[in-house]
Amino acid sequence: MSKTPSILPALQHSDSFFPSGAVSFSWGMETLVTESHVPDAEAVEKFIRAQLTERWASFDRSIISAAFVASKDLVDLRKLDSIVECQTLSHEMRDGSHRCGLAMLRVHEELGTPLAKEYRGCVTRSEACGNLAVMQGFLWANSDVAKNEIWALSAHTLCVGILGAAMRLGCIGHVHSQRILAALHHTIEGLIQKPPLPLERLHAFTPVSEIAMMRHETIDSRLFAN
Amino acid sequence: MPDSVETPHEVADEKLRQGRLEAVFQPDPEGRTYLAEQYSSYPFHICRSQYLDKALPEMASLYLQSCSGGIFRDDRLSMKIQGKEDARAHVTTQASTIVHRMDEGFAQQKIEIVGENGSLLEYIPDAIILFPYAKFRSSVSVAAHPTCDVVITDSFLAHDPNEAGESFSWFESELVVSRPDGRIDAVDRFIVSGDTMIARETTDSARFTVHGTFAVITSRGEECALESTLRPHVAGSAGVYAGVSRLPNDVGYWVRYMAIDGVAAKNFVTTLWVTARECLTGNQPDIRRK
Repeated sequence: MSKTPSILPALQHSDSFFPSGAVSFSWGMETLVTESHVPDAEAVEKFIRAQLTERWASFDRSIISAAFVASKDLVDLRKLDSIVECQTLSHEMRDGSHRCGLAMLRVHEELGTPLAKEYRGCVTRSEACGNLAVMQGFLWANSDVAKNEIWALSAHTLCVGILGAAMRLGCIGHVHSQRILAALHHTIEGLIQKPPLPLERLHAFTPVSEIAMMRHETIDSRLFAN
Repeated sequence: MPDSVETPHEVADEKLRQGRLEAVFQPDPEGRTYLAEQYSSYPFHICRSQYLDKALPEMASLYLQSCSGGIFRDDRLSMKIQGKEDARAHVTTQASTIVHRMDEGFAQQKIEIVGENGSLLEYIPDAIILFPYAKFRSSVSVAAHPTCDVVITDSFLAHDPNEAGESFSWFESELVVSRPDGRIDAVDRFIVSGDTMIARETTDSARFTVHGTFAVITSRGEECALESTLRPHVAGSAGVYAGVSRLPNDVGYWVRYMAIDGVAAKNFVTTLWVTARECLTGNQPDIRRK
């Protein structure tokens, strides 16, 4: 039987059932809810849409694409990892990116995903950081996720991660979160129609989430790691 | 939500107006820093070095001036500020820099800051004011020796003088921190349009009209408790929403902030500068008069 592209690997890796560790991270949402900057469903949708358009589309997406292409080349992957490290200025954002990336690596090593063990060795020896966007492109490529699905998969996991945090913080309910996710599909589809930016043009403008994650570093009681 | 902005690539064109400023600071045999080399072409003007700090009398203070009344279409401005070994220098602007309306083309300013072994350089300009339909690319590169301290700020605000609901077209900003061997440690690059500024990430952030960054590039941050000393000022300044964090690759610390107006931003940056100076040298600076 000839092998045809399947949506099943993408469904497996986008499912919250997959042990990626993403439930521990709010990407600034915890501070914003605590400080009453994000009080309701409308504000949650606005915040996530800004993260998609002003960081994910102009930064993460290009890294994921490049890591997908470089998925068999550990040297190129480490260079991409270094680019993400330099351009992720908030400490807790870097820390979240490292921890999520490493959680993915650990699971994929146990699943036997090609090169996961070798790259985890690079991270253990401090030769690489294991930033999330790089790990997504690299590990999904080596898990038979189709190239045309990685962007939707990455955007979906970002949205679900922040929506999950908003739900646990009591800002929205289950129905609201599904409504917001559906409303964001149009934005994501529009963003992935355009070619990703070249690496030398990567940029991001999400000052509110950056500041929120900086303020989170010393917040008294915390549910999330950022 | 507005679409992402696509900014143009640079092209060679003889119509472009090149302006250049170079300032090299160096200590004399008594340790007093002086302006050892200088060059400026229109629109830049370099004033005489002044010595304004009672607690750091060897530090040279330099006000940069512009003869042009702002930045206009097709301006291509560049600056290099260099601190030789053990130099102490503070560089500021006389006032805010206005980027005027431009229906075509764009303007660009590149600033290169080089800090050699043991030097202390401060580059604290006033904010960039973006008029409606301004298109501006700003690039700041800091090449700092591991024993050098660089304090730098960069801020911008949108101004709509006719209150016609107009804003700038785009602003592209890049801050690159590297080591003397060229290895890059930190990059802050963003592109923002006036529409994006209005759309914002949260509804209540629309009241903040000024955005800025304050960074201290230093390897001595932990020893002088820089982050913990800055943090109370960052957490509780009136009219400002801000955070402080450690930069990647242990290259220093930075503050990202949003302020409700230029006055709040200026007061905030002054507080951060005074605090950082005290952490780095043990003494507060004297406030620069403008």
